[in-house]
Amino acid sequence: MDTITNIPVSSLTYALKGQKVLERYGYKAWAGRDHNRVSGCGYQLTVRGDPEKAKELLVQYGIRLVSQDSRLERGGGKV
Amino acid sequence: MIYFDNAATTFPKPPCVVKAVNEALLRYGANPGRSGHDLSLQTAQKVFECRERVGKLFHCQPEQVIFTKNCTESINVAIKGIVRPGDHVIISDLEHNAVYRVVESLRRQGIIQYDVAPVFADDQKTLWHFEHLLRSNTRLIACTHGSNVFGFCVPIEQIGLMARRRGIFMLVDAAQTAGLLDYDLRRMPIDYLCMPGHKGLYGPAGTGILIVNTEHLPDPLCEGGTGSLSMEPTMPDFLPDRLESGTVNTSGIIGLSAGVGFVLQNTPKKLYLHEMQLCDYLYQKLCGIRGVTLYSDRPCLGRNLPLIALNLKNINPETAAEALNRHHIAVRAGFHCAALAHQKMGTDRYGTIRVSLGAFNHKNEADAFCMAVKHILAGR
Repeated sequence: MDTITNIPVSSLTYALKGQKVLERYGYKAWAGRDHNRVSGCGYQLTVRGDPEKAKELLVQYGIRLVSQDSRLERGGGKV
Repeated sequence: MIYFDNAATTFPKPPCVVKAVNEALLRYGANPGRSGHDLSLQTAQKVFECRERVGKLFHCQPEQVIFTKNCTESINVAIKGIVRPGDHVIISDLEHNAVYRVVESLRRQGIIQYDVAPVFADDQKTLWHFEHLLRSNTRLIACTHGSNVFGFCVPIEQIGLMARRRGIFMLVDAAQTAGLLDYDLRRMPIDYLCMPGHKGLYGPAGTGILIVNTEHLPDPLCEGGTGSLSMEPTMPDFLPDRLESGTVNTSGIIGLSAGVGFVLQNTPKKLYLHEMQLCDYLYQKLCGIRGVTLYSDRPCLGRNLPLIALNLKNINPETAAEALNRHHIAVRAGFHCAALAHQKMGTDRYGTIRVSLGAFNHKNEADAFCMAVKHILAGR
């Protein structure tokens, strides 16, 4: 079964661009809102498939990823 | 009505643009890049599609494409976001007030100094004059690609190469050339390309584009919400968000996307050729009419734009334009927001009449124009 991973990116434009890049390489990907961003509103890519390869592709195409550290733990807030 | 005022804004718009704007208002009504619901994301997708199309036309990445409300705003964002106190800027003597007034305002505030380089028919001579004005603190060359009054083209690639060799930024005002001349930003030495969406790209009024083609991002002219990094007190350091605060003109951008699609389908080369052939036909006919003074050169591919500056003997250009309007012909008379260009050509007392062509003009309209000119000169 394929893994489903959320990859936070720095903007909606990057999310939409990333979606197209990944689809071109046979991934299923969706751009959507990231609800867990410390720095406020943000977007992410939900990807079905190998997340590491997907991230590599995104970086290769100049898409700025956001580190997981900048995201809130699900169900909690940063104190 | 014969519409010969395409340099001000193109008209009519292609049917696909009208359809797209209508569809935008009916179907894509949400705010793109703010929410996560389907309608917002679908609208964002349409806005992104426009960035992609612009990227395809100018050979750049979609995130390099910044939406503004017109070319003037694009120029303001770029110039004011780049220069620092003590900098020196060079502009050409064909600039529109969109460039001229910006640098003059910055000079009056004591922020920059600037010089005006003359443009000649001989490109090497033009280049020499730009180079001659360089100083150790020159940070930017801001230059039109083609005069909005006389249609003369400026050798921006050669000037840009000279600027790049010296680490100086190059801004090109493509108000009259975007959609007509080919741009490949992967190889052209242009750092900031400014253009309207409503002229040669056939989008609706209220649309403009700034393409940032360098790692050096201008400081934002306007700060506010971007739908990203909302808890940060400062603007994001990535494009397009850094330079696009507030809700974008969604329906305008969706219409612009269709306009750019129209240009991609017809190609700038074919559109330029069509307009230049028609312009040459009109120019030659006007040459044969006594009492017509022409200020533009005979249209030459790569050297001129499809517009003609003229005056009618002993008739004020504004009066002549009114008379043409009575013949149901739309042209623009006066100074065309380009003081420098009129001073250069010695037409700064009364101005000129400008005839500017577009994709939908035809030979029979050129014939009707010449007929009307003859009638007006004959006092009828």
